[in-house]
Amino acid sequence: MADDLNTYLIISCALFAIGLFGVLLRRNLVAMLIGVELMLNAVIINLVAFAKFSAPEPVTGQVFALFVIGIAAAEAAVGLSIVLAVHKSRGSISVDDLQELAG
Amino acid sequence: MAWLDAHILTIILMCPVVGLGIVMLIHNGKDLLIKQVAAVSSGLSLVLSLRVWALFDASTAELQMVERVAWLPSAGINYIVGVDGLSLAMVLLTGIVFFTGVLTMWELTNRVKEYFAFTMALVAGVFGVFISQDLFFFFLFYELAVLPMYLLIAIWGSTRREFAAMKLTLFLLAGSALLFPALIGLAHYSGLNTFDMTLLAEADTDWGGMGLILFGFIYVGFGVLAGIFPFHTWSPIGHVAAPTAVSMLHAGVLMKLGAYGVLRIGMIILPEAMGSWAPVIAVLALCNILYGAFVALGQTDLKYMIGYSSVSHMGVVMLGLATMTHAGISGAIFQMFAHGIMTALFFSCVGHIYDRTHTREISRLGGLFHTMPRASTLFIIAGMAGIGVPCLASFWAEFLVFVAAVKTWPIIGILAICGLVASALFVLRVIQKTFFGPPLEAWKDLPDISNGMLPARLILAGTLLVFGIIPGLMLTNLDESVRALVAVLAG
Amino acid sequence: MTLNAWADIAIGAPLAVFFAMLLGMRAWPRAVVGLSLLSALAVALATWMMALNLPEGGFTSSVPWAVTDDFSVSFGYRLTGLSTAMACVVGTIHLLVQVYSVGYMADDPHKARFFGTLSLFATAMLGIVLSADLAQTFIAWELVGLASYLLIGFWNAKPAAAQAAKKAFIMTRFGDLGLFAGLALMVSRLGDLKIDTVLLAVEANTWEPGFVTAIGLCLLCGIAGKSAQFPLHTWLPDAMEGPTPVSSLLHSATMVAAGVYLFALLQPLFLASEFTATFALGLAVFTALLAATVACVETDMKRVLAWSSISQLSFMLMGLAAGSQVAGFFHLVTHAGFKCLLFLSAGLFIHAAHTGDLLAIGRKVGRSAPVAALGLVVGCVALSGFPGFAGFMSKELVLHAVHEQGMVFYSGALLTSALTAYYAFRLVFLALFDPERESVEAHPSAALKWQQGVVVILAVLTLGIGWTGGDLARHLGASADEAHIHWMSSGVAFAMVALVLGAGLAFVDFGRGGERAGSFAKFPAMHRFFASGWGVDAFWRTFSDVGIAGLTRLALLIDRGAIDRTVDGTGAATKVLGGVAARMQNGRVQLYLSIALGLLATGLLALGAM
Repeated sequence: MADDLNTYLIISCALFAIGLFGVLLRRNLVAMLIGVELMLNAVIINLVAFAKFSAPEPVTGQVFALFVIGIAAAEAAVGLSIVLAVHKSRGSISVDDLQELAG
Repeated sequence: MAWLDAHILTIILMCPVVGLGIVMLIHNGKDLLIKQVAAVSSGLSLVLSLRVWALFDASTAELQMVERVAWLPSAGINYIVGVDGLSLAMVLLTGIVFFTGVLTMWELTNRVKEYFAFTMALVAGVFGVFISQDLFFFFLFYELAVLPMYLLIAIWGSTRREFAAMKLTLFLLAGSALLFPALIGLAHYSGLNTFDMTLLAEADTDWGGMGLILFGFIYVGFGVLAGIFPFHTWSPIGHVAAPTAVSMLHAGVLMKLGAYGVLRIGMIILPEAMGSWAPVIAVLALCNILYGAFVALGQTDLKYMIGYSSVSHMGVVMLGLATMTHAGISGAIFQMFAHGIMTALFFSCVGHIYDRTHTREISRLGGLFHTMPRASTLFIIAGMAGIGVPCLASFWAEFLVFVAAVKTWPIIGILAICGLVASALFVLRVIQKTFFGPPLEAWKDLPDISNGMLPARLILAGTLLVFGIIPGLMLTNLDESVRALVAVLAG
Repeated sequence: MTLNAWADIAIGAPLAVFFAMLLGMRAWPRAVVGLSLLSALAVALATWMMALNLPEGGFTSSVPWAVTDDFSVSFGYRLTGLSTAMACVVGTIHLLVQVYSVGYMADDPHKARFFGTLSLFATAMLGIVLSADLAQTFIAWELVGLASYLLIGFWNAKPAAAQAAKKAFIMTRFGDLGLFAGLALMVSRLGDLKIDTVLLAVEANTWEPGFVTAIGLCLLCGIAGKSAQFPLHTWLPDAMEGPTPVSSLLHSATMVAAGVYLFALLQPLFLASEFTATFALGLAVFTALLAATVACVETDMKRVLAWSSISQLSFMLMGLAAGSQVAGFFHLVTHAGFKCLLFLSAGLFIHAAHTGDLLAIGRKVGRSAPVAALGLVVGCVALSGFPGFAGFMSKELVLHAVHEQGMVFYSGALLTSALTAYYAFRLVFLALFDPERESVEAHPSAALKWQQGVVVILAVLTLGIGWTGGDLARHLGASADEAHIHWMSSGVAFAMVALVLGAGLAFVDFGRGGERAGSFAKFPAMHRFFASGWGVDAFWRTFSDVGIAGLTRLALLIDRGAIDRTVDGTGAATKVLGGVAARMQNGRVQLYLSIALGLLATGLLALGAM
């Protein structure tokens, strides 16, 4: 595969689609969280790729990527603790059991 | 005194607002104190509205006692209040009904604080509408007057109160939904970017087709509140569910807001459109008069009967406005006043009867004349006013409107006169079934209106008589303003 | 004192009594009665002073009452021969009836209300009579209706009285519609309704004939309502549920004459259209005949008199519609006297017998009440048109005027005269000459003196009043010749024949004791028809039950079935829509997200395509 922007973008797009698929279709909260992580990683690949090929200041993209990784870690921590709390109170982490907001 | 006279309209507006504030500060259990505060605040507003009446200069059509405070000049919104002949009577009407309404509810025991707080909020809105000369404030006060009604009916009401309150509120809000764009449209399409009603009326705007549409919105939007056919069904059911004084305010004052809105905004700002709409208004008004009377004839509940009689009588108001003549419009405004006082008297008597007998079914009542001579006499006075017996205020109103109507549209006018028989039919039927006949065993020992509760009713009956015997009191004040309006309508 | 001041007294004094009663003097009934008598005296005095001091050409004064740019209403007095003469009739009868009522109502706990309302009536009636403006006339006209309503329903605990009061109000209201419409039509051309303005406009002949006819017919409708003419007459017999003084004052002598008075006042307007005049004449003849036949078979004393009043009112209208103001109005005056007398005598009988039934009165009371008997005989003789008595003199003038309008009308009127003689003497024979009379001891009371005194005074008045025709004619501004009776004419001869036939038949039927059914009973179908009032009452009942009730049901149906259902349907539809929308909110976050993404993608694609 050639080392050009498109290659990176296609990989990132595939990763994002897999993540989205996970978020939309998995019933398990942890799996949905993993899906979100995948989508974030897709974004990171995007950022780094654009930085490498088109930005005059190469560092900016990498810095952003680091930020996102940091945020992803925080998000995972918060998300997993919510999942833990839900599991404690409900005994299940399937979204099918969490429909309190039905109209 | 001079300072007071210069700011009298704002002070009237402040009476219920300050009363509301004080009531909110009073501890919940002190019912008597709350009632006293309400009585003082309403009495003061009545006295001040009489003062406005006395200060009014009948020889000019100009706005009087005007106050202007810049509020949001960039958007063309200013606080402007003032009265002319058209609104003068309405201010007095509100004062009278407010005061007598508070007195009528003196025996209330359930959630006294909240009740009087909401009443005063409502009245503040009503006063605001009648004195505002700025569209924005007009609408603001209008909404303020309409909304407390929901709570007043839903909490203190009777028969199907939640349903009635919801229906009433939805209806009126639907009207507001038409009004809001119309009012913005007025400010926008005039090209003046102002909400000042005087400026809008004086501007030489060519409204064209837009005027017709805006007028339609205004007519229907306000007309809902005035109970125009076929948007009237909220009104009787609301009357029935509402507690006594709320019915008084509702039929006595609130329905007048609608007719007043059509007059003040529709007719004055869009006179050409009024000319085109007048036949429609007249025909619908005729429907109101005849149809309302016949539906009233078929009712078995006293309050429903009065509710539909209001529908019929508001038709007279709209018919008068639609004639676009000096006599017709004067008669319409006179009718707004007279009908307000009259229904207030009606409801306050029915309230007394209902509180004692716990029924309003006409078939279950009978012979009350002998157990409650005062309540019966007062009800009969109101009834006689309702069927246009002379020497009571509404006679003049109906006389002026019908004669003007015959002159403008002979057929509609003469058909409308037939409404007089229909209204006589239902009022006399109720009097016969409820008050006449042998006294019934069940109601034999019920107390009549006590001395303490009498003054409120006497004020109402006295007002009907005074304006009935001296119609000039009303007509002189209307004269110049209506003449100016008729001149505008004639183009 | 000026004429204006006298008129103010006549209108104001009774009004003050009414308001005093309304505002709490009910607690002191004796004071109200005293005040009321005093005011009645003042009214009578004032009316006579106005009549006697009337300047040549009359007197008019008015002040604006309700003014608008399109038309104005004024309050004022227009004193002419006609109005002052009518005022005297009203004032005098009112005074006599008030005095009579002192005795009649002595034991009634609500007599303050009675006298107060009677005073209200006096104010309203004089308001009609003295008015200078037709709008004022209309106002007073309605007030008279109100007073009538309150007085008929005075004993409102009796369902029949309450019903009769309502009926009277509604039926006259029907007529008032016409009156109102007529006035409204007139004012749309005139700008005000001053009687002088209207009469001038009629005289100037500026209105197209169709318009004049329309106005005339409209006003005639109002007159038919108030003066109980076909088809609006059925309320009057029922109105006898009220106390007898009320029947006497309002429902025979004065109030019902208001319609006739209005006709006399606006006679030029009615005569200006030949159709209206002929129509009025025909209506009057028809009503007279109808009412007289019913009076012949009626068995309640006051109802006989009521039907007789209707018939006699028609005679007055006949005279006026035939063009003779003197004849019609003179009959009004004489009728006021003798009919008042008849009612007050009837009141004495009813008081003694505790029933209004004619046969029962004959059996229980009869000649044992001499004053009442005297009043009844004098009244009936006058009513039947015995030569020289009041009724004869005026009726003769009416018949003379009608004769000129054609034989159909004249023969109808003559036939009615014969029937009048029949029912008048039937009344006398049934009440006074019952051979099976039980002797009931009379129990005289002090209160009775008041009543008997008034009856005697009225009897004397009735004897004399027939000879005042010439003076009345002069007062009305006509020549005394108009009231002159040509004794040696065929007209008088015909009238005599009618009288003798009627009275003779009554004697044959009832004068000799025996069976008390009468000749009419020999034809049962006809008897039933007459007794039912020619079915007019049934017609109105059907009209009310089918017409009005049908309209009511229709209106209710539209209201509940169509309008309210649409309204509530809108509410229900909103709820259903809300339900659909709510189903989408099922709590599955993933679904929401899918929808959001789908929408976003569609939007982006659409943007890209543009």
